[in-house]
Amino acid sequence: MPLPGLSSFLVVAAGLFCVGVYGVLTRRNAVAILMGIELMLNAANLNLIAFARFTDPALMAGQVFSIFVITVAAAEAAVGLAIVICVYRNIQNINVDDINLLRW
Amino acid sequence: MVAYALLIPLFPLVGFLVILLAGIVRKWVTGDIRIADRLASGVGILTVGLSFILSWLVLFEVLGKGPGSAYHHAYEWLDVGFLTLWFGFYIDAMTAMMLVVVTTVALMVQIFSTGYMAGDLRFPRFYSYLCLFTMAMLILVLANNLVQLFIAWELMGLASYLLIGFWFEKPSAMRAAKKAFMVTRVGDVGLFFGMALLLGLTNTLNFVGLVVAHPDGTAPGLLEQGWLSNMGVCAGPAILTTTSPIFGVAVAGSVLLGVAALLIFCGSIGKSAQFPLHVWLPDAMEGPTPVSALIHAATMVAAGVYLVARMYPVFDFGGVLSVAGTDFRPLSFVALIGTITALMAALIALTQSDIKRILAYSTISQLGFMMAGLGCGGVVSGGGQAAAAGAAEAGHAATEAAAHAATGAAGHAAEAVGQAATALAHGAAGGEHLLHLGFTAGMFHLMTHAFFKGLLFLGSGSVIHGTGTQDVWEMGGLRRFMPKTLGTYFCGYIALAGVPFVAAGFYSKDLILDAAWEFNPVIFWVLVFTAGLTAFYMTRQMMLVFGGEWSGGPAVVQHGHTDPQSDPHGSLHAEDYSHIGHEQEEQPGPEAVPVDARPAPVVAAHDPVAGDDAAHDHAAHSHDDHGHGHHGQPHESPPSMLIPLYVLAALAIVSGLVGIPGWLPVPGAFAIYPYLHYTRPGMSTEFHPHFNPMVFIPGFVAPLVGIALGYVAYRGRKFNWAQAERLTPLQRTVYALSYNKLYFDEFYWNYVFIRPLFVVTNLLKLADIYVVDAIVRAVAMVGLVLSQVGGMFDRFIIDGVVNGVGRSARAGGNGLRYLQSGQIQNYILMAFAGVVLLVWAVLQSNAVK
Amino acid sequence: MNYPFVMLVFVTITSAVMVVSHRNIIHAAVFLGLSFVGVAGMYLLLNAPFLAGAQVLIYVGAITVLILFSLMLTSQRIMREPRNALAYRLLSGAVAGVLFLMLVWTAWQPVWAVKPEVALETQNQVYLSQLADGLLGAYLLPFEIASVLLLVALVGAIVLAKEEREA
Repeated sequence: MPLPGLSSFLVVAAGLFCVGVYGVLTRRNAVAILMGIELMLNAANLNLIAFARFTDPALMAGQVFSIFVITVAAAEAAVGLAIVICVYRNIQNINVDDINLLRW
Repeated sequence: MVAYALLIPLFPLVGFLVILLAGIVRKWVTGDIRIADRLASGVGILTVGLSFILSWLVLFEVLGKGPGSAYHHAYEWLDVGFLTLWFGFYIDAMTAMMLVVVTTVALMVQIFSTGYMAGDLRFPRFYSYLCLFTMAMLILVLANNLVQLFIAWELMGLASYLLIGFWFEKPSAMRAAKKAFMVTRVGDVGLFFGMALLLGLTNTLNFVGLVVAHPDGTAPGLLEQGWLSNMGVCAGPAILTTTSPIFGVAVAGSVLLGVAALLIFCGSIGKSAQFPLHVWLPDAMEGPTPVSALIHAATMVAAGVYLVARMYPVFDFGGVLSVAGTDFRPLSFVALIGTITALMAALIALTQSDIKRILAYSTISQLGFMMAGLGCGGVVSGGGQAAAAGAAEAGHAATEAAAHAATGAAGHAAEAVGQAATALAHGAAGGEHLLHLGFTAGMFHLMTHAFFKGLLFLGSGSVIHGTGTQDVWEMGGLRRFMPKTLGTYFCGYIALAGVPFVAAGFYSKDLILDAAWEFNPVIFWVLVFTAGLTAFYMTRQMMLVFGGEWSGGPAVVQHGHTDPQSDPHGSLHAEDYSHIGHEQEEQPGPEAVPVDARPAPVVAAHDPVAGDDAAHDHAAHSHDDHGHGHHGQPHESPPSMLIPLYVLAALAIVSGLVGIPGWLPVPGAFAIYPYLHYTRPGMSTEFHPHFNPMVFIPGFVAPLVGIALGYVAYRGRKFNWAQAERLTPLQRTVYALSYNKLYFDEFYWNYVFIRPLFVVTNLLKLADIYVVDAIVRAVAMVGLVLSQVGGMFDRFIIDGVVNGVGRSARAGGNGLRYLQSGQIQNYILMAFAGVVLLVWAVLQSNAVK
Repeated sequence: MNYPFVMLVFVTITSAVMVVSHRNIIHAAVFLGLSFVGVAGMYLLLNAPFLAGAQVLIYVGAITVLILFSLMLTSQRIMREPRNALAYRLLSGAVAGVLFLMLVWTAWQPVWAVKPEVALETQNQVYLSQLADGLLGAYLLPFEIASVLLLVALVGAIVLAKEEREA
């Protein structure tokens, strides 16, 4: 079975990314927003791997990059969730609509 | 010496300027007023004295050169293309005579004023005005063209105004000054138009060639300077040969020339106070008496006569105007006006009670005489009188011939026969006949009148100074207190009255009567009657002033008791200011005696003085002319005032000698004639005077009759019309007419000049309020509206823009702040939207194909 | 038609959509894990076995658990979250949609330097040893920095999440 072309993977990654965008924009729960962010990161990773596979497998730059992305995503998720917990402690609530002290 | 004639008016000019400065100095030098005064009078007397000397020298020089000599000098002044204006002087015998008259009287007046005006607050100014006036009159007399004459004429009007209104705190004086100026102005308008018309006709206004030429009608060129010989008052080429380029008629004999002459005569009517413009002269007596003597007796009023004499050829060649079928020569008109004036003024003078007014009306009357005399000259076309005169002349010449033949002087007889033939030819021809005497008579009388009238006025000044009043009824008996004044006054009196042979007035008046006889018998008899009236009223004045007994003066006569308070000071001393403001009359002249309404009231011993005239004179006593604070007897005047009187008295007597009638077997008889006569080209000016009893007897008798009647009537100083109950209404009417100056002033005020002017003024006032102010308000309204519009523009548009910027910024801010919702997702949304846009932009930019 | 690929795509995308749209947040977190798994499968298809494994380990094993824990710790009484306003969702969808379209368009450009022989090959894998050589060789610096980053994140998370204690 032929592997789908690069474009397919890119499209998938794009779709994943945009779903993640939609989630970030729409969800009220702070953690849900972080989930959306994770999706976006995943999409980026997928892009990287696809390119690495189709353009130059010998050069593993794409995959190495992906490892680092995963690393950063993990760190960021951890810190982000720690912040969410802090916020929860303060307002008993992680609805981002209520975190609006810097409004007009 | 005559080349220095320019200096003659120049000296008084310098005097005028210097005295002005002296007046300024006096303000700063608060110390001795007398020094400034003496300085002023000294300068005045010095300068006029120098002019006086120079004038006499000029006279001698001109006379020495013989008849027909004249000195001419002209400077070019303005060249306006078609006309060149010159200024300069032309001095012939007539001019020289005028110079002497003017400077002599002026000098006497200046000397007199040192005594009369002493102590006046504005003494130097008086002298400066006198010098100004003298300068103007001298320029006028010396003028060699009409423009210069006119300028000097107007300048004299100014000086007259200044001098009449010298005591300007007196409202009556200021009114009189304005009146004098205005009335003469009316005449001056005519003069100006006459000048213009003359210019249009003859294209020149210079005397040489116009009115002064050789007896054959030719004239030297204008540029000929220096002594001219064989000149006379004669029409020159400008009249004789010119055809007017503008009007297209020959000038000589044209009606337009006659019109020009009459217009010029208007100026003389004004200036010489002829009927109907005589009304200013009596009021001009408000001025100080020396002013009256100088200006209104001797010189300024004589300027009108001089003008007519100078322009004589214009008058003579002026065409005939037909009025109602009668042919009026300009000179006839002059004679008519003069005669009317003479008679009218004499009638008014009969009843006046102010010593100066009597003399004023006398002046008007004598000016009328002069005009009448001048008018009885020139050329008339044939006619009975001329023929009769010619025949009479022929008759006398024949008698002479017979007498000569009887004595065997054949040569003389032949000559006389020849004369008779000529005279017959003249008379029989019925053609044009030259009246020889008129011109000479008028000018001769001018000269003598200047002297004796000046003398009389100064004498009256002396009387006023001595008694402190001007009302003759408050005088009397002054012969005892002021003998010297009486002596000189008497000389003037006999000259004016025309006492035969003794004084100058007789000769000059007689000459006028001669001229009138030749011209028109009616005029002759009227003038004779007027001469009689003259003698009468002058005698009346003499009797009332000097005769009888001293009435006690104003203190007694006015208040009925001796009033030490009545301090009739004249010239303003500082303590006089309290007297000011007594007069408040608005209309001139009295609302005097409406005879049927009320009888002439009796006020003390006066002539009836109902109305303002009384107040006028009454208050006038308080501050009119000079007077000491006497509470008692009149006194003689100081020498400074007497010496001029002596000089003028001498001249009043002597000046007639140059005009002694030619038929008197006296050497030098009628010496004046060769120097002062009118010439018509083509006509003989040889004059052979003869004795005409028809002329001489009335002229001899009338003054004597007048004197006698006057003496009888006023001997006791009691003949007072009003007090006589036997006055009939007719007599009262006549009296009132005479006393109230024939109501001329009321007539002019109410019907002719003043009231109509008020009507016009009110109309203009209405126009101003309703038209002009409306326009002004409308303009203001426009401005207001425009400013409102501008304001609104400023408020709504300009401010709108400015405020709008602010408001839109705020609104923008108000709107945009909601972007900062505080919600992260909104921010992220916006960020992503931006990303989308960026990506789109990159894709669009051909970066990706 | 590569069925594995299609199935994986289906799983991944569907799970992702459920992640962002499911009302129950716990369910969403589970779906998240599922989508991670799908992505891992796709890694396998792309000759990146190690990464697939790492993905599962880290993402599914650690991050998903972390998320679940934090959901537990921040639980609210109502686990169902209310929806946003329709307009807002539409707008966000529009933005995402447009972005997707543009990315798709970009993806289908023929400019990508695809080596044809590679595109057809299926056997060339990247071995773990190769990765290890790379990580500790050419890419050493990023490796070290990543480890520092992890340390910092660790410390930071602990500090942030620590409860305030009266000293």
